[in-house]
Amino acid sequence: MSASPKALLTLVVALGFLAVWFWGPPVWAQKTETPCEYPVVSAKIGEHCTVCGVALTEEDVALIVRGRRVPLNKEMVDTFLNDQEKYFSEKQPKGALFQEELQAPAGVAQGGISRGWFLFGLYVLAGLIGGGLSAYNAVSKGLRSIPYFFIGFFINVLGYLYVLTRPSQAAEGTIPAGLVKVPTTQAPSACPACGNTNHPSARLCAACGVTLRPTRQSEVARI
Amino acid sequence: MPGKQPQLSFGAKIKQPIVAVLNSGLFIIGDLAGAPVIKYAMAQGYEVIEHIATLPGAIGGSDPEVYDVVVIGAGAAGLNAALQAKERGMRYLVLEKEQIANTIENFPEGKWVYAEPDSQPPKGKLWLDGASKEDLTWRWHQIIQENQLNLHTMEGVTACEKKDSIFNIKTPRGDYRSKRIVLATGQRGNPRKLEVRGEERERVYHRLYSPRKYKNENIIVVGGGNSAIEAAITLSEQNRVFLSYRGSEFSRIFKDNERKLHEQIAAGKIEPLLNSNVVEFGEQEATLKINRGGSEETRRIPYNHAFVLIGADVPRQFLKALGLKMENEWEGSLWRSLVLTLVGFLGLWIFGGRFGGHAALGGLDLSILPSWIGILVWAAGLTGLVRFGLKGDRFAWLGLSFFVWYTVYGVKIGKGEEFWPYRDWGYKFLSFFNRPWSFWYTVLYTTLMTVFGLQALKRWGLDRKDKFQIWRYVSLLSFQWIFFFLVPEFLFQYAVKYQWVGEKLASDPVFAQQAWRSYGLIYAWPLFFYTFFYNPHQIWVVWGVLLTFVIIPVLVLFHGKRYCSWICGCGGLAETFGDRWRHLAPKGKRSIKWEWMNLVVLIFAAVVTVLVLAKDTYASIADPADLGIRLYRLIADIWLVGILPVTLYPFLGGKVWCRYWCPLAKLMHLQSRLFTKLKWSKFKIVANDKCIGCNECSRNCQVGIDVMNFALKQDVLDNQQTSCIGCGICVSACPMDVLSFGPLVQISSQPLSRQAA
Ligand SMILES: Cc1cc2nc3c(=O)[nH]c(=O)nc-3n(C[C@H](O)[C@H](O)[C@H](O)COP(=O)(O)OP(=O)(O)OC[C@H]3O[C@@H](n4cnc5c(N)ncnc54)[C@H](O)[C@@H]3O)c2cc1C
Ligand code: SF4
Ligand code: SF4
Ligand SMILES: [Zn+2]
Ligand SMILES: [Zn+2]
Repeated sequence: MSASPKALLTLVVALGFLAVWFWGPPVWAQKTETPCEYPVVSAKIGEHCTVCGVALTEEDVALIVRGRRVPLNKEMVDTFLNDQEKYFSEKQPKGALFQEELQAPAGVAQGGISRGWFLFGLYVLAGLIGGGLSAYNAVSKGLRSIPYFFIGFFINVLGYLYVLTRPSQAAEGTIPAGLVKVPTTQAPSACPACGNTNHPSARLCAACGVTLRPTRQSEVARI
Repeated sequence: MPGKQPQLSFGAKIKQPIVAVLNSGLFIIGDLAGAPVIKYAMAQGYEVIEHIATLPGAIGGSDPEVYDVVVIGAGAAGLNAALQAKERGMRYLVLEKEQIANTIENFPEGKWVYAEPDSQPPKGKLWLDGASKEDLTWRWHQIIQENQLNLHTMEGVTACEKKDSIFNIKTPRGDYRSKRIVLATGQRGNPRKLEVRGEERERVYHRLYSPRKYKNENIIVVGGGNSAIEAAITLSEQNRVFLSYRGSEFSRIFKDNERKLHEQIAAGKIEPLLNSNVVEFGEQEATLKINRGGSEETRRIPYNHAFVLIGADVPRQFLKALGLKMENEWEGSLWRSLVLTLVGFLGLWIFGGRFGGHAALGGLDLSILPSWIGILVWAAGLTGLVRFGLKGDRFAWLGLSFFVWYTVYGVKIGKGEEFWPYRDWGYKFLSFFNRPWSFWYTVLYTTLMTVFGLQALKRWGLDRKDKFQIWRYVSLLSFQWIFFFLVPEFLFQYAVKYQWVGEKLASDPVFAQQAWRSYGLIYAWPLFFYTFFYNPHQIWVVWGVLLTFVIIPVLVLFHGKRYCSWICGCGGLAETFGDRWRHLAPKGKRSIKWEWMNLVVLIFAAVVTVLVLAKDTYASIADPADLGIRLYRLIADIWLVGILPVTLYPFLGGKVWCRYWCPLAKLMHLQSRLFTKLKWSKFKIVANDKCIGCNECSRNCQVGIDVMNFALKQDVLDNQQTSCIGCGICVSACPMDVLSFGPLVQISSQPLSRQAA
């Protein structure tokens, strides 16, 4: 996939569009213009009209829109209803990070999409976790990580079980499975006999063969 | 990667294995191409020749004067390439400016050369194993002799020209012609020398590594810049240091260094010798001439080691003359890009008239223009940007990036509130298939994060076999899918519909009709600024307080700021979509200073929040509270988190928001700093003594931390001194396995995995 991330991106986007086109009913289109369906309660002293900002009296009203109070001068109710999006936006999160849609059906945060998407999301999530587990295990066993990630990604639990049944093996040049590398924390030490510098974990001098006292464990240790 | 113009810069390198410049026959390998260690450099030397051998007309030809390949630089990469060229029967020549393996010859005496990384066997004919520097170079000389390599030492290349597909290579001693060039000059630059007698002695160094190795010795440091001062300070902890500088005062050094320097001078550990010049490095003593206001004094100082740290000469001119671009160089015209970007918007303004926009310029109604004119103007602006961008104008790409993200976020703010030129039509226009633009934005965000997240997962986790990074990327992507997709789009609805939350909550409109509050499940105040506004249900208030003031601090206690690199969606986009540009993050002390900005945002958020919460009690603050929210929304929630940082991704890396403006990051940083100071926190990065100063760690830190500086000195890196978010990229990137989280491995202690979190 490193070869053509752009192609992959295009593919995913295209599939996304297609899927939505066929799969989900366009929610906004279904919606008819809302008459005032919102519960109405009376306004409290101290509240101000959302539309024009005048102080309200008990004569005035408050609509409960999406669980939020919208205090309104009695005269202004229609003005509000005719342009809800504009006046209500003061009580909504609207920005780059978080967003609420007024027109989408209550309870739905965004576009209102079909249940197929829910299953798709669950599948991706399970794939990520399955892929992660499989790759993690494959790395521990010295197996190739990329194919196992994708096996786990696509058939998650089954893929993971498959990795679990694989025997460990050490790839060429890597640290054998079951061993971990310990970072060296010491400079090399000089041989007392000939002065040659040796790895601090060496038991024999590489130049003269004299026995050395290792000052630390080998870089590779058993887990 | 033929066809791509490589960009080079010192201390910040490109990372392709072998780089060919625009199919020109010039290949760059080794350190210069971003290979940080000998083994990689050797592998590239081998591979580049194998690659060249497959090209048309690689070997032989009618003109015996023309070489098949000239290798410039006789380091690990160049030597291995030459050996392979010989093996392949090519006509080749190696040109070396100084001596064979000059970089390695300049290592300190007896330095142990590590053959990292162990996961790869060495390639080619050159020998490599863990060995002392002397051993290694001795073996290399033998191999060169055995193979009778065609190599000229003391003959640096000064210029290169291409004419009729043949390169003309100039050195002070002659001209050479060659079909192809392998450039393997390393990029250490050459440390500047004093040019005094005795400077070539083994005890005189031009770089500082493992300063903690020296104890109770007399050390002379020469230089007056930050690197010399820092070296003197670190060395003075265990030694007696003389700091010689030819100037009359240490100007242009960092405040912190100045303070520490004065401390060490006061403690008698550093003796500063201003207005001084080294005349000679003797066997035991160095001779210095010190100018004391007219009279000159000669002083002899006995020394064990001397460090001459007076900068390096970087061959920028030479490389530029070869047509190579330096990374992060801003070429092009800001004004032209500005105008073109504006033209693009202007076109859309005219175009928007058809869809409900109002384009009017000084009484002139532009909406009467047909919309195809708008499209034409728009296309003219954007093609202009792309054209100049392709020609190397970086400002043009900046303009294009701004165009895209300004559109994305300037429209997302909402119907009727869109920024110019989208006012009153953009939102509707971008609501494809009858779904709101904000929905498509979420789709875009999640897609970008997933696609590029898998790529980053491959780069850092799968390719490097790094379990820590595998988990980190899985975590980031999973949080995105759960909390930005499954929960707000579906699970919250289901929880209400099927009354999973209980009948009472499910039937309370204040709870049930505010699905968007489920973002607050993991987004904490003040990042989720709206936690306490707009009639939240009590349960959200309780959760919000718990999250911000209990859960996050506990997380910080154990994991520092890992929220940013494991959980958060903003950080998530930076770590995935922004990953390819991570090396562009602003570096250096000045860039760190600007991190005060997120404190301002934090205070801003806190003040507005208090005003809003209090406005029901004190009617007089209602107006400032409303104004505060409106301003915060516009400044922080659109410009600082959206338009600006994402526009800057390809130029300053992905973490501009997280590092400079995110109030939650600051809040966590303050907590982490406190916990570190109290010694409660366990979060830190430690280094062993294998660091070779390759800069890979600093280069890849998206928060712009100079990790190398800590590693070279083996200092502990924690949240008291840096704003590290614990992403572990530096640990993964280090080719020498220098860095690790958690405590330093003690001699003969239990083995510890590098992945220990
Ligand atoms: C202090 C230190 C310690 C290190 N320790 C290790 C270690 O333990 N293990 C490890 O694997 N790596 C280590 N490295 C990294 C290693 O040195 C480099 O990765 C390696 O040398 C890169 O090889 P190279 O051939 O690309 O470049 P270099 O080795 O830098 O060789 C470049 C050559 O080109 C020559 N040259 C430059 N300009 C010109 C010109 N214009 N014309 C002709 N010739 C020119 C130079 O004189 C030089 O000989 C260390 C580096 C340093 C600085
Ligand atoms: S210092 Fe390392 S762990 Fe910390 S943010 Fe930078 S790269 Fe990540
Ligand atoms: S600690 Fe940093 S500079 Fe040192 S070897 Fe590792 S990556 Fe290179
Ligand atoms: Zn009113
Ligand atoms: Zn010995």
